Amino acid sequence: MSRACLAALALLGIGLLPASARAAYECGGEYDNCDCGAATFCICDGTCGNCVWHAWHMACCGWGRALEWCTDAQYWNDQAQSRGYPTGSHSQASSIFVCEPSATCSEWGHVGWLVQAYADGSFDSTEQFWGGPCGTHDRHRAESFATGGFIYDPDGTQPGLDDASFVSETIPDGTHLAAGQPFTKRWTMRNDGDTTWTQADSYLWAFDGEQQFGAAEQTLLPAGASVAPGQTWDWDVPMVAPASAGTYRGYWRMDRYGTARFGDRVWVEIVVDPPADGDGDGYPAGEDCDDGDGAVHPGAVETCGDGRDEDCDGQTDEGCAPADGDGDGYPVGEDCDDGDGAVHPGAVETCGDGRDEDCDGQTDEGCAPADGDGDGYPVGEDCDDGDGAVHPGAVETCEDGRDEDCDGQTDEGCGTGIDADGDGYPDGSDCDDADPDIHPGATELCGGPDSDCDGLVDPAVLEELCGNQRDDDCDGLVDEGCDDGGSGDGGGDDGGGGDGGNGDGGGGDGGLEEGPAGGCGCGAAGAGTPGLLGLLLALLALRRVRSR
Amino acid sequence: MFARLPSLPGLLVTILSSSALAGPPVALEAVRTLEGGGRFLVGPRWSPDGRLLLASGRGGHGLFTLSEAGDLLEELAPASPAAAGWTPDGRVDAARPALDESGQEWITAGSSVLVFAEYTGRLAVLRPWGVQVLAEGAWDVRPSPDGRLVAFCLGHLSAPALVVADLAGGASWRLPGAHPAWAPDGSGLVFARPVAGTERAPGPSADAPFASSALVWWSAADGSQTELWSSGLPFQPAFSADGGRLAWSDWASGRLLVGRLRRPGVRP
Repeated sequence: MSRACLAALALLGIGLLPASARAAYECGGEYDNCDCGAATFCICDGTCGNCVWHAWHMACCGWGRALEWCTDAQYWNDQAQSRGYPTGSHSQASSIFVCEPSATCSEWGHVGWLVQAYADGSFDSTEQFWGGPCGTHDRHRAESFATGGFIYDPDGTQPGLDDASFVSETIPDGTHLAAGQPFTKRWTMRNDGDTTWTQADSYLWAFDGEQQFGAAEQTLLPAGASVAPGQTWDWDVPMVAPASAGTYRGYWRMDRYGTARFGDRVWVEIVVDPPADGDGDGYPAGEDCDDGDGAVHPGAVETCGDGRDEDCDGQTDEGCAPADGDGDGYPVGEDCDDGDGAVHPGAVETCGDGRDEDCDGQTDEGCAPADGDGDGYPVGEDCDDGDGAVHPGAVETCEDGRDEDCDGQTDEGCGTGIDADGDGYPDGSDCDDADPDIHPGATELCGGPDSDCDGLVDPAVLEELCGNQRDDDCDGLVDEGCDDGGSGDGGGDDGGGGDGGNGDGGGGDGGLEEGPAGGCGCGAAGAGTPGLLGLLLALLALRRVRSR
Repeated sequence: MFARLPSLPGLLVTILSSSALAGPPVALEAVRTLEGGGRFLVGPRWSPDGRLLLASGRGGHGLFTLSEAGDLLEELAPASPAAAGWTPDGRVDAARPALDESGQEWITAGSSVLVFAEYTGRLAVLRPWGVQVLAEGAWDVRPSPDGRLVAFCLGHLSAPALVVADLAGGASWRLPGAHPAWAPDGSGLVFARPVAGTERAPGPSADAPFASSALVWWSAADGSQTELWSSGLPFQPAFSADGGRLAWSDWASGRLLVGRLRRPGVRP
C-alpha cells in the first residue's frame, strides 16, 4: 500500500524548509505560486504528488497564511489545535479536511483542500496523493470521509456550523382565520450550530418564499441579544391573513446576512375562511345585504310592493309601479295615509275628526268651529268648551276661582268677604260697605241713595202702601188715598190748612222713620215743628210734580 | 427507427425501435411533499418494507425516521449517523462497507466483482485476466441490481459526470449528473442532472451545486433519458424496495418529496 501524504521527514518531521530554500516550487505538476509571506514553506515529498504539500499550498493561497507545520497528515489536527486554529466536524468551503489513519486513508492519514460544501455535508475537494495517482485531483466526498474533521481559516468567517432546528410554533398548520385578520406567528428555534447568534454578526429571521402575509422581509435580533449554541429564540412575526379565501403557506428561515441561510426551513400555513353565508344563498355577509334571508342577495328579483331591497342595490321596489296599500288609487308618496282608503288627495274632509282626509296638510278645514259643550260658543271663543257654564258673558260665580265669563279674570266683582261697616253684609254683597244703613234689604228712601242695593235710588215699588205712614210712592204724601183720617192729603191740595191732628201720631213713630233731612220729620213737640214743616213742604212739592 | 450508441470494441448495442417500447412514458405521479416536522432533511432512504424513511439533517447531521406520510417519528443517535442505513431486517445501523486491509471495498455485482478504493476513488473490475480499472476518482458507485451495469460519478458535484458502464465490457454512457439510484428491477436509474447554465460559483453561501436541477430517468434498455421532475433542487433520489415509489430531497427547501414512478410494463 502507498504511503499517503508522507511529508519531508528529512527535516526533523516538521517538513519545513527555510525561506532561503524557497523557489518556484512544483509538486505533482502544481506550482507554489502563492505568496503568503512565509518564512518557511512545505516541501514536496513524493514522486508525483503529496497531500500535505497541496493542503499547505492551498492554505497559503486561500488563507494567505503559511501554516506553521507540514507534518504527516495524521498530525495535522494536533498541530492545528495546539496553535489555536479553529477545528470542527462540519464541512465548510475553504477549509482543510483530515482523514485519520485508517484502512481507508492508510496509516499516515490524508488531508485535502475543501472547495465547496453542500446541503448533505458532502464536499468537493482538491487533493494530491502520495504515490499516485499523480497530480492534483478533484474529488467529491461524503462528510464522513473526513474522520479527523476540518481545520478552518483563523481569519475567515466564523468556523463551525450555522444551524437551527424547529422547536415549536404558534398558529399551527390549518388554523382558520378571517380574511384580513391580523395575527402573530411565533417560531421557537434552537441554535443547533456551534456559532452564537447576535445582531452584530448579522443573524436574522428571513422570509424565505411563497406567501409573505404582509410580514417584514427580515426580523432582526434585538441589539445585545445573544443566542448561544443549544439555546432557543422566539421569532415573532406579525402577519395579516390574505383577503381571499384559501389555504396559504409561507416559509421563513434563519439567515446570516451576507453569508447563507441555514437551518430548518419552517412555514406558516393558514386557511382563510370564506365569509359566512348565513342564509345559504351563495352570497356571504358583506355582499349580501340580508344574510338571514335567502331571497335577498345581489341579483335577486325585486318583489314589487314589499318595500324591501331584495337585490341589494340600495333601492326598494325599483322598477315597480308605486304601491297603493289601501287601494284608493293614490300610491305611497301621494297618499298621506296609504293604509286608509278614505284618506287621499281629493277626499272629503270630515268635520270634527281632527284628521286630514284630503292630504292637504290641514285638518277639518272649511268646517264650523266645534262647540263641545253646546253653550253656543265654539272652541276658540269658549275658554272651556267642555263646560256649558263657561263662556263669554256667563255670570262670574264668586269665590270659585274660575273664569266663567272668559274675560281672563276670575271672580272679578266679588268681594273680599269683609264686612267693614258691620251691617251684616260683606263687601261684594254690600253696595256700600262703609255705610251700615246701606245694604241689601235696607229701607229705600225716596230720593236716594240706593240703600237696599237694588241698583235703584228710589224704592223698587212706587206704590203707596196704606198704614205704614210712609211715602211709598215718593209723591210727597203719606198714605194718601187710604181710608184712615189720620192719613190723607191734609188739605195739601190747595195748599190751605194742614192736618194738625197728624202731628201727634207722627211724633210717636219718630224713632223708626227713615227720614232725610227736610223730609218726613218726627220728633218731640217743639222741636218737631220745623221738621214737620219741611216735610210738608216736600210733600207739596212732590205732589206738584206728580200732578203735572 | 434504429440507433447505434457508442460501443466498446466488439459489442454493438442495438436499440429497439420505439414501437417496441410500447406503453405509457416514464413519469412521476402523485408527488407530495413530506412535512418532516419542519426540519431540513436530506438523503432519504426507504426501509425494506417501504413504510418508513430514514433521512439526515442539514449538513448530514442528525438522523431521523419518518413515516411514509411524512410525519417525523424519531431522532436517532447512532454511532455513525452519516453512514447509517437500513439493515435487511429493518433496523437502522451503521452501514460502513467492509474494507480489506488495503482499504478497498469488494462489491459483488452479478457475476462481476468490483473493487473500490474510496481514498483515491479508483474503481476496478476483476477480469479473468486481471484487474481492469474503470475510473479514478469515482464516487457514488452503484452497480445495477442485475450486476450487468455499474453507475458512478466523477469530478466535483458542482460539475459532475455520471458514468454508466457495462461490466461485460459493452457500451458506457457519460452524462452530466450525479446521485444515481437504480430501479430495483434494473430497467433504469434516476439521477440528478444540473440544468445547463445554472452552475453556481463556489463560495461559502452556496448550499447546492446548481441553481436548478432535475430528476431524470435513464433507461437501461436504450440509454434514453426522460426528465421526471424539475421543480426546486431535486437531489438524492431513492427507490422504494418495490420500485413503485421514488423519494428525493429538495436542497432548496430542505423538504423530502415522494412520488409514484410510472414506467412502461411495470405495474405500479
